[in-house]
Amino acid sequence: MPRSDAETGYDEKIPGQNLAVIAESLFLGNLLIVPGVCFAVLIWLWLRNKDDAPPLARQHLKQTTYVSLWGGILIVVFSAVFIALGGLHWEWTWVVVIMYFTCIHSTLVMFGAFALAKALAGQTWRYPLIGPAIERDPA
Amino acid sequence: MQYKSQAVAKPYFIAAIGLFVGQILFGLILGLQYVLGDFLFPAIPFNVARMVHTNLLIVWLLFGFMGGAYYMIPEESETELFSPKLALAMFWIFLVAGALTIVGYLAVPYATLAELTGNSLLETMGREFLEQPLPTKLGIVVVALAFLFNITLTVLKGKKTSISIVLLLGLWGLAVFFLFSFYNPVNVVLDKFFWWWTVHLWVEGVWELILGSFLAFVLIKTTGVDREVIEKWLYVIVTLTLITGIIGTGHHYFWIGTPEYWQWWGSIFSALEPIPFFAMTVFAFNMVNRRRREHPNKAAVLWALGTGVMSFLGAGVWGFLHTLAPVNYYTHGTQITAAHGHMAFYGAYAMVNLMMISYAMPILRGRAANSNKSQVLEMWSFWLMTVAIVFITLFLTAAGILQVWLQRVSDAPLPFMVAQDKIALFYWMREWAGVAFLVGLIVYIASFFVGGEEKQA
Repeated sequence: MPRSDAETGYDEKIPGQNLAVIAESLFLGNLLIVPGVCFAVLIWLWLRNKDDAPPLARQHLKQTTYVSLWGGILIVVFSAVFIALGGLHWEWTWVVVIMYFTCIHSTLVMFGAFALAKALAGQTWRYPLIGPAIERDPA
Repeated sequence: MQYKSQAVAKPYFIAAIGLFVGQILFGLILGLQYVLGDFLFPAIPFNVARMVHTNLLIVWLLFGFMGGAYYMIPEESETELFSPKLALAMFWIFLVAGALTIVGYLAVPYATLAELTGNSLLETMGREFLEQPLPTKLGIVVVALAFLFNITLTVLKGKKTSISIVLLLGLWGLAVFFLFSFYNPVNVVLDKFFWWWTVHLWVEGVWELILGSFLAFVLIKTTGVDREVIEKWLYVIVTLTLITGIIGTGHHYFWIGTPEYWQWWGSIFSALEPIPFFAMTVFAFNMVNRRRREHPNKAAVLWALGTGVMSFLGAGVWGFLHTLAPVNYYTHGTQITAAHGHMAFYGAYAMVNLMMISYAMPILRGRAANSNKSQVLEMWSFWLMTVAIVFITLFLTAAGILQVWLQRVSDAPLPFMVAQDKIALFYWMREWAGVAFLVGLIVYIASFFVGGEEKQA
């Protein structure tokens, strides 16, 4: 039986809307407030609900989990590569790393904000470029 | 339009756009002076060009706010404006006073202007952004009082909505905090302390309330979402703005001689300041996603979404970038501040005014929305100006990081002017992005003169 969002304690207009909002909030929380912890909760939620949650919730959980992973790789790996290549004592390393980090991080946050707005409206959303394809509902 | 007196908004909007053009032209002159130090010297020295650039920004935004309020309040209060004649009289007084001030800046040395305008009677001049001569400052107070009188009496005689109350709160706050521009104590610490009560509590306080109310008004009109839903969002945004913005003033008190505890208060509360801007972004996108109708004015909706995104990036992200005291210790007063200032002012206040103008002007000209051709042009101008300001911000940020390193972090710090030479490449790139911005602005103005099939009101 598909999981109901009655578990969250709030009425929802579209099945899965609350879980979708929670998923997007955790995505943003991972970027902005408690990195790692929010991601761990998100992974746990996704594993728990990926098979039986309503389609809207599944889409948002899948998008946020994948994009958190890709986003983490984009932020950490490339910043580390730039630092490794340029060294900490070269001014251009700082220019590139700070610019890169700020741009990629704020892009992910902006996409998260659009996704949260979509979840609040009970709609699906695919993160551009790095978001997995949206599953079509067989029904 | 629903109320005849809303028509007084039109000259305010036209003047705002005219002054906006002036601001950008002086921005380009300034940008060139960064790399060609004697460009237009001695006719327009750097300090004068900078003063004109920033003062024109403030004045055109104020014209936009007044025009927006004159358009919005009759519709919200469901009654005609208390006195359209007073509104028009104030328009001309403000425009003439503003123009004379700019002519004064350009025609006479600043010290002479101070002498001629009676600065010795009450010394208020010579401070960044508040350079206006005493008569101009007094004129601003008179215009603001007459404007508030007019708007407040209109609200009092008509319906009171949350949106109009929030707007009134913002406008009254704007007037009250301007009074601190008359307070200029000899003690420099006190001077700077209260100077921020005008500058910071405007842009990171009461102006955000004006922004929120304009955004809420246009979103109600263009999306058809229930007023109750939009008003709830507005309450949250207002609360977040005031909680974070008021004590957030402390991020200006790190190094001016105030007690050390301001480094904690300023850092913590200003780190929270992106939250209301983030809420505005989610608010705007959520309302558009939940829209109950397709409004024919797509350009206005684009500006509404744009102002959420760009204000979050410019004011929120770029503000946070250098707001924590340990970071600000190195970045204070560098090009990183300039990067933040450009994107924040454009994203929050230029765009919200352009949104209001975009929504109201077609209606003031007798149609619900401009022709498709005109809107396409306006959307081009949106993207040109927005992408240009993103590049201006990025180039200034890169210049700022390099400046911080060369001038402040390095084991062998360079003198200011030597560091400026090393970052000149970014100034050139910023100048070209500024040219692109001007092209966008020209396209924007052209969109007013394009014909085609208009959507009837």
